[in-house]
Amino acid sequence: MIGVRAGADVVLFSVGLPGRFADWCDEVMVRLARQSGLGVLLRTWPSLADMFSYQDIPSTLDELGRVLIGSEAGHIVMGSRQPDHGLRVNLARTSARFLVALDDPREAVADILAETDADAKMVVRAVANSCPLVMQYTMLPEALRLHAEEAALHPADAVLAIAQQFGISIDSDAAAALVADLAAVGQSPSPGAAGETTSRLPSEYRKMVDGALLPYRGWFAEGRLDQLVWTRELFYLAADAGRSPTEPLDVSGGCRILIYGPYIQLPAGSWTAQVVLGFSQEAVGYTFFVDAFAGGELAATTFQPARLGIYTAELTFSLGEPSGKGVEVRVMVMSEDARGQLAFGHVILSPIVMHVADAWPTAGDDFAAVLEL
Amino acid sequence: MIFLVVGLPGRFAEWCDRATVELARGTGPAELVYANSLEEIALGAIASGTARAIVAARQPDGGLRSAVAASGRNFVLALDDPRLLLTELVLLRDMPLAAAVSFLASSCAATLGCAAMPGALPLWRERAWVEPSGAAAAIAHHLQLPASESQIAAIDRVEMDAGVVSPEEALAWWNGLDAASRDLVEGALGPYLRQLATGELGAISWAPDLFFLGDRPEERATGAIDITGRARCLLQGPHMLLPAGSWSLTVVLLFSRETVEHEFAVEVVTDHQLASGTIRPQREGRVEVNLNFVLPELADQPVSLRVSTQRAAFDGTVTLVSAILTRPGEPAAGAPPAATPPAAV
Repeated sequence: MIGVRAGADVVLFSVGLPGRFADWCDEVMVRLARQSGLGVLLRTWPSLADMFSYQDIPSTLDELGRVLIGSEAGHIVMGSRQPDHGLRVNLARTSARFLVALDDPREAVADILAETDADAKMVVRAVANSCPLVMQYTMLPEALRLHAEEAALHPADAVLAIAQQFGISIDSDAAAALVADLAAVGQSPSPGAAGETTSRLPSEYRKMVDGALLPYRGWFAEGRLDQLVWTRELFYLAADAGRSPTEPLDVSGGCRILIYGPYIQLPAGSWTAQVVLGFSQEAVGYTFFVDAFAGGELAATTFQPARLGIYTAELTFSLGEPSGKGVEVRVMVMSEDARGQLAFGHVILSPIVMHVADAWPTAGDDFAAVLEL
Repeated sequence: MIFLVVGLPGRFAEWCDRATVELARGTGPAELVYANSLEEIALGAIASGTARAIVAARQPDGGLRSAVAASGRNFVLALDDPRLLLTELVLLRDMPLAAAVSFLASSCAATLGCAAMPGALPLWRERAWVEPSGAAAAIAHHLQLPASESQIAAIDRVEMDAGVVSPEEALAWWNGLDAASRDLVEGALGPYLRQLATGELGAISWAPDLFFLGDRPEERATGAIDITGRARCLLQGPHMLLPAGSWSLTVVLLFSRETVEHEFAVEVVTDHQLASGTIRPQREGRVEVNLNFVLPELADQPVSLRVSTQRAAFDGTVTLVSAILTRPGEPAAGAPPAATPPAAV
């Protein structure tokens, strides 16, 4: 067991979605570690600004190395909001204990929207990018899985659980006092008086948020991932990247990309993507191309609408570990002389086969055992 | 808390590692972690379960150097005569000469630039080993490690002398090398000796012995390479680190008569292509090609030259004559220092 004691500097890891609950857990860890008398540095990685951007984010391990080089503190609390494959593999390999702060991802969106003036699309994308990464950590044996709802009901118990996970001695009274101290500076595991998620989220965002994130709530609570829906608000118009395809588009103007996005990570596994499109009578007979892309083309289909109405382009693809900028769906018009209008509905993503976290170093042994090799 | 010891690979850097460990343990547990990158430091912390470690870096990559420079962290820089280090690698660790030169030159490229950082405490073997307690005290002071006189005195000299090549042995070994081997050493390591002495690197010469056959990467590309066969990579190497900055590589190749009208690609690569050119020899003989490229500060991949045929050939040979690297603005002649025995001799 890791023990935080004087003279034994340690690194404590937490992973979680960006939002109030993970922040609260990190602060609890900082205050617990501080009991040793040494200084404690909290590093939350990546920052919200980094998560909103489309740039590649340095790995958590690189950032930890940078923190270790730059810090004079005794203990380090590393709160990862996009915990990557490299960290997971090495936590698993060394049986290092860590904390997984699990919350309704919609709460995370509501928290960020309440604290920043960020575009809701960017916030949903940032949280959605965290979800498939965090879910992989929930399956590791050394994880302490803390749920926000339970922690909100019994915060002192949550503090005791965190302390026990990291081998820190604390009694119930001290845990309650720690909770009270944090509450006094506005930090709590739940939004409290701010109310239910549904009332904190502006109604115009609710469909987008529910579609992209609600299934992850199911995973975190019950280990079941239902289909995701990426609504049109998450996508971009090629002609004006500042806008989403919320209105029908004129397809005339030659062969080109019309719609693309949303650059969101998905859990590793096999997926079907149903891209729902509507076509006007004038667009009938022209050729359209839809593909899924993530570093390279994952799947593509070409079709010609035979009559006015709604069409579903279906793509089937497999994904490895989340990496790069995430998954992109692109809609293109392929006919130079195309006319008419196209309406973009949404993309329904259904998991066919999910890859269970492969972080255990004994995975190869298990495989051999199954085959009786 | 991290205590960093950067150094050229050898007994002295190991002594600095051990001395720092002993000093750090005076105030708490401390693990020795060998790491050349930020990720390796993080992995060391995870594996050991502690953030308090002595990090020993022998080829610190661009990310680590950049983080150290940005943080202003104090660190120990263990410096030594590369010629003595070479004899250690060859005589004590049984490393083949070309491999030892390649390893040591990469370490020099990654390490010597750290001397200009404000947080560096440069320690030289020849001075530190005269008075090891003084060196230990300097390390303790620089890294702000409280150490008693008895602790410093305990870092004795016995360990550091174990397994060190004596100057007489080094000289005898050097005198026993043939001319080609001396050229190999002087071309690749001589510039770093110059840098240590004058601050200027000068030209680096990669001898053919440092390269490998393209389709048999375990074989050195010495002598003529038969191009018969399908289009392929004929020669690649030396997979060595270089200091960041602008470089010009001049490659001289000797083509046989049968290669005339064949096209050859010449590339400089790391994990991606940095520069390329094409050669179509018009007649038998030497052809020179110049390739310019830039290595960014954060570059941490070794550099290689690659020569490839572009179509199948029935006959012919190519021989690498020389590969010389110069930096714009630095003396092009860059004649490596004359073959001198190790400084301690």
